[in-house]
Amino acid sequence: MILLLRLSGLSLFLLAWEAAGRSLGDALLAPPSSVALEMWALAGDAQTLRVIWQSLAPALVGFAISCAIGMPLGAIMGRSKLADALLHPWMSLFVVTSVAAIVPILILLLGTGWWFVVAVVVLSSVWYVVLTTYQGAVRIERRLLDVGRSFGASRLQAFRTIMLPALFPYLLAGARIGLVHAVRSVVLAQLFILTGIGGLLQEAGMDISTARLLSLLVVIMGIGLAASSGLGRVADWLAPWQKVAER
Amino acid sequence: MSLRRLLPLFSVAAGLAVWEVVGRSTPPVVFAPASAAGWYLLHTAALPGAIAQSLLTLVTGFVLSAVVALPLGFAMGRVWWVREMMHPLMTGIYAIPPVAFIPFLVVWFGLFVESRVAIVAIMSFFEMLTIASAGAAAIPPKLLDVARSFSAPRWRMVAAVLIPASLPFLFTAIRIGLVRAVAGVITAELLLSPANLGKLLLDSAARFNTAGILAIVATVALLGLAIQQGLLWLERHVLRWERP
Repeated sequence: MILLLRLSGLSLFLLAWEAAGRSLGDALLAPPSSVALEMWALAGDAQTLRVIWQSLAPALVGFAISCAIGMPLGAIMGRSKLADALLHPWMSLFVVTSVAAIVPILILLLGTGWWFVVAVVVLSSVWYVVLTTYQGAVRIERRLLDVGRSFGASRLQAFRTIMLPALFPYLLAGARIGLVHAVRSVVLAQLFILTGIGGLLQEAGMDISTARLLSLLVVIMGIGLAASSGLGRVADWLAPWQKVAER
Repeated sequence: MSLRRLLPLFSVAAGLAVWEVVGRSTPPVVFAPASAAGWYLLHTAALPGAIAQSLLTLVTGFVLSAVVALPLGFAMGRVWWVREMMHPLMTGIYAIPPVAFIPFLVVWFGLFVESRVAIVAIMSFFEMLTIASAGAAAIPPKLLDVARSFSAPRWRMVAAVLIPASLPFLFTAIRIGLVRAVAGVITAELLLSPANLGKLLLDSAARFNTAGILAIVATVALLGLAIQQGLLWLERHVLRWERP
């Protein structure tokens, strides 16, 4: 019954889209039937697939850098009052700043190469990793640390056996949000310099028919969904004792 | 003033000082000092007008987005069949980066103000929808049960229970939505036909005027921060009963 409702929402949307698409024409809104045909063509187009695949590489590299910087930084900010007081104002400033605004100066500093895209990815995802890890580190219960101390745990032992397991769900949640932002920002960066997925989108936007554009959007949607659900799977597999609180 | 409040201020001052020193020791085409950026802010006649125009775009797009996102999110949180119907669809569309819609929006709305408003609306829509639906779903059933056992009429239920219980998450939704809208405005003004703040930014970049670039970036950052902090302040004052 619930499955039926879920499907009905989607199919109503597809039907409305099909009807609107038919009456408006391909130039304004290609109906799902022609988008599906276009996707079939896209799947056979090795060139396009390679471009999409290559666009994901900077997203993954940038995401890895964000985790490597953001997770320790967030943990330190959560556990040290001094670091928190010094860094928090900057974090709240950067997290509300749109990366798009920083893009022009990044282009001046780094050119429009591969590392430019990586930089945009890092600058848009690292704050979310930091702040989510921070939330986790702040909430580690005093009690647990006290128990560790009364049993004479060294700082390293306390970190490894108490803090890390308590932080784990937050690290994963942060990684997930960070990955979503990494995929988004790759598209943003590439729309500025018109390479990769951004270039494909721009090119498709010039077509008479919107079928190709819409099919690219569906592909990007697939990548986004796959990335976030894939990381969710990894999370459940690595930390089965604590399913990530916020999906 | 206590140390706790002084340290962040000190940190901001130190950051500005570092910016100034780095800016002075590198050539101005690479990185301008903070003072040059400040000078640019004070001596650019076009700036106040550009900020006003950008804000107008922001508010228009945000309002268009909020009038759909908040009620729909509320319905998704409270009515189970609406949630089941809409959830897969919304998750799917949410997975598409908003900027990816830009070429499509150009086809529909052109390169100018209509498209910018549309991007602002799309960028703020899904965050507000998600927060409103999560918040509405989390309204404690106890509150509603009490109202029901005193056989409150429907309008009393809405006015005395649902609305006060919803205000906290509605505030959060609006705050996050507005911050996203700031990002939307600047993205749109840079990627479509350059306009307002985005145009000033791109003009500075074209002339290697890094002072101008950094000044605009700082303006955008402070705009976001001001909206965020302003709404937090408003939230604390309106929702007195929520204060710990």
